[in-house]
Amino acid sequence: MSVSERPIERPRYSCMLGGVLATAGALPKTVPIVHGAQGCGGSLAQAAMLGGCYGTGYAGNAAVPSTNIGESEVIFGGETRLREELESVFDVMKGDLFIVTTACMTDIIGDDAKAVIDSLQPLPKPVIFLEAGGFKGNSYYGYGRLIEELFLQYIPRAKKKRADLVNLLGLVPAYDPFFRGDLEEISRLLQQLGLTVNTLVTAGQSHADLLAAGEASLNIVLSRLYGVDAAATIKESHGIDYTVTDLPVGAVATEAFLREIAEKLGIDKALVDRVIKREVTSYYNYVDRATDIIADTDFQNYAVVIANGTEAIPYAKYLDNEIGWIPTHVFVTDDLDEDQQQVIRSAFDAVPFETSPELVFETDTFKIQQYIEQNTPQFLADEYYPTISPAFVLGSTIERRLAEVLSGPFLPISFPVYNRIILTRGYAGFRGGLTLLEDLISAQLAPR
Amino acid sequence: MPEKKIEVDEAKRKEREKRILEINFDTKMPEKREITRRTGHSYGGDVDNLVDNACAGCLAGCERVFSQSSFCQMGVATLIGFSIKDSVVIMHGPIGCGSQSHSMDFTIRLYGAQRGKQMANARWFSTNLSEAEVVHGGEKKLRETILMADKRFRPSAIFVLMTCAPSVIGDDIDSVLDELRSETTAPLVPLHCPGFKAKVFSSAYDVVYHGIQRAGFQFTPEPYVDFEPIDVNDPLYELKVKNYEYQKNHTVNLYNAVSIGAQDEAEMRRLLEALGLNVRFFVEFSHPDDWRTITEAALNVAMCHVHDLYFLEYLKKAFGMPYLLPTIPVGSSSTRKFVEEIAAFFGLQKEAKALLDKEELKLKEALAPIRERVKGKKVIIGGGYMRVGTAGLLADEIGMEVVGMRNFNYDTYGNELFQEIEDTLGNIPTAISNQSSELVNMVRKLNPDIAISHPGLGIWMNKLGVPSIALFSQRFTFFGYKGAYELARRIDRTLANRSYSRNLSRNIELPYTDEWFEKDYDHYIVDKTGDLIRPLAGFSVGGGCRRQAASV
Repeated sequence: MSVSERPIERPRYSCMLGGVLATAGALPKTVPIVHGAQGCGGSLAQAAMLGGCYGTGYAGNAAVPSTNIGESEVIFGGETRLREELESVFDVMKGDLFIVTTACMTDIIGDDAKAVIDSLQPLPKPVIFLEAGGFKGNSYYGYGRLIEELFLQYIPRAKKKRADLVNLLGLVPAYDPFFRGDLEEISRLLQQLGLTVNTLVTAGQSHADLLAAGEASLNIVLSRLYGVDAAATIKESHGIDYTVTDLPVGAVATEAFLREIAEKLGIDKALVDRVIKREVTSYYNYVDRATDIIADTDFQNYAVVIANGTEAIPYAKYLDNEIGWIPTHVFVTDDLDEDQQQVIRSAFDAVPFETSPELVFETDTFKIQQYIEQNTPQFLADEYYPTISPAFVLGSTIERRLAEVLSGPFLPISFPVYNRIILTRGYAGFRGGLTLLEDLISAQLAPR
Repeated sequence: MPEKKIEVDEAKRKEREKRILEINFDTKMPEKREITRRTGHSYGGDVDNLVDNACAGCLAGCERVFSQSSFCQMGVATLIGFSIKDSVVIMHGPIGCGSQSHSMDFTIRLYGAQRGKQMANARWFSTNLSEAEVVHGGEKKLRETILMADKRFRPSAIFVLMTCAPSVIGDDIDSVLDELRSETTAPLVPLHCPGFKAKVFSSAYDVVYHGIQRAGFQFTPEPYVDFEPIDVNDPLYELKVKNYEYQKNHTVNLYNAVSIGAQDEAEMRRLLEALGLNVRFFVEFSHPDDWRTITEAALNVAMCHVHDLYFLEYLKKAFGMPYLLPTIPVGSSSTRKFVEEIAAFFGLQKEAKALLDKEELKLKEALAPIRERVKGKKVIIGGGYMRVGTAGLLADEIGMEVVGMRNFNYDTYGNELFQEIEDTLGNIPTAISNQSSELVNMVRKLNPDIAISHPGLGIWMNKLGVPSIALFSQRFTFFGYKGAYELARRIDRTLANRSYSRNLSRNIELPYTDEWFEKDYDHYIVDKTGDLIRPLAGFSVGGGCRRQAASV
């Protein structure tokens, strides 16, 4: 994982451990154990809360067992303390899977946590382990590493694959704030194609589902960047093929997505046509209803999209290809190396934009606003000059300020989102596309 | 009520009045509260035993052999930093440290606005330390970040927070800051707050005030900037001097905190202004330029001394300003004590008595119907000890039964309050804990009707079917008579419909084993006094922080 050399103003993600804990918290009946300082688990839970009030869940936040190492452990090593914690944890905590992670401090002082766990085997419950020192990468990286280790250490390698079973990867709990709604909608659609879908991280998933994930015939990675390395590793270890695709938002993207997956799995084309026809008909039945307000309020906007590498392009694509807006800027807010930027650029170039927006890689909050203000000024001495108006901002809650500068409404869609709670809501698929349309229009109607 | 009253003799009471405080303002970094106040973070037992152990200084030696995540002093240290007007906060560490800080944005903007202060957005940087810097040191990146922050925002102050990783690899932030002082317009404030260094995370307040007093801020007014000096040749010279002195001698500074709301400030202002005093609030939601007038007052008073003692001690040492630590003014008796102590300082006892008698009478009448509905209901309270204790007294005031208290930490500065609790409520079960496992265990056994909880733990009450309200929140009033009435109303409203927590508790699974509930909640707390904390002169070390009276 490459991390940029720059300091960052108001970064839109947390550290590797933050991603690991948010993801572990979404797995069924899973208890993470942090071998680190007492604030790591608590503070990173607060960070994940910024993903639309993500919540404590089964055993998150204050319930996360943590060795809470102090000065003496930093000096003399923390292995004894970890042993002590592991000797008690199963007497207190109930869970089907325990995930032991290190943190910055224990990685720096060089504790051999793996050796401590091994020396205590057999343990009464399945335990997996990973090093998750925060300085090693960001939360997206943490997600990918945990998924990888989940397969390597917990999910059995099944020789025989089930043709109808697929796993969904790539959406990071909390840091992709709509991950549940998005995964559930995509599952709903794939189920109509006769597939069984493991999301691993949504409600209703069980350990039986997790353990069966090794029998899947395809891993579908809904992100161009995250979960891709994990899928590659799983292909090696479990022999599961994978496909990397954009998160499909709205009818246009979702139809293409379903055809792509169906082709990959050799699903009967007639069935695919039937499913798509039914979904599209229903979709446009709703869009039809929205058209009065759209036509009567001249709903088309210029738009600025500010999101992570998974979401930015799918949202821009929806705005342009689906509802006919004019996205002017697409900011990708992750810390990406050259190769990763190239991946995003290729995906961006593949989108048939009516009017191509500008793609900008920027992690720094101040610079995002500065970029727009300086390149497309809203105030000039001239009498006539083009502005981004009417403007609409899709970004994180921080973008409230930018929306004020552009005098337009805004919809918080990317991390951090702390002015709305996100439970079942998603913007992917057909239903998600409609929900997004609702929210975009409602944001403009809200001041009424 | 079932609690057994314990007779506490005079000698013991005297012993309990002693306070432990050993601070040194001249060091680079302040010591943690485990050292300076012998503050404890792990204990199970009852009030009587708690107070005795705090006196002996041995609470600080108790540790857990099974523990869960909590807060760190680094996270807490951000709170003051962000709420200083127009500041910038720099997290010197890996990208996750302080990544929860986006939520401070609305906190300072909304609650600043309630005070009539237009606050900037919460502005912060992460030095984003990667694996390379963990090997080679992060000072270069810190230097770059400070210069960028100063140039970009021209902030009123830059708070630099030292996290765990750079602290262990030995980054010397003081040298970096000293080097840069001449290059930046903003004062640079070093905050030594690596999370692993203190389990008592309220040590953060000492860290911040230590940094503030070392950063070169001015606490005295600047002639011709803050005031026009009185000309000795002015014919009204003596009158003007008298006027000035009268003003100063009737001015009191109250110290606020992020946990204290604008309405709380307004209520305390109302009561003290009724006595003819001039009331001002520091340091949060104020600009460092405003701090120059701090010394233009007769008295400093902490509204929550867990927060401000360190700074008040510094102002006393540096400027001879007296200070008071009355209590936190939640509930009638604590509000009375708070106002009376201040009034006594200014010789306004008679006026105070008249005011407080009248206010209390009005409150009593207002609380009567609420009391009818909530009396006998069982409540458990958890969080910072001053809030816990005073909320307990208020619960008692409205006829509720306090079945348990859970202090996040505890030291001798709580003894006066907890002695009052022992005298009024009896020897009730008391823990020092912010651990959710200990909480669910204790709550199952005590079976309360309602909880008053520190943010982050109310969820566990609800999961157990117990509705929970916030121990503090800027959204509501807690202080003074208005606060007492509002808090009582919130308890009443919450008890009126428990459907939410009842439904939740019936439909979720707890991550705790059945065996855990059969154990004592303090099962994993052990006394490590000997190893960790050096003995305190004049006290015997040990004394057993494991609970003695079987109270749960």
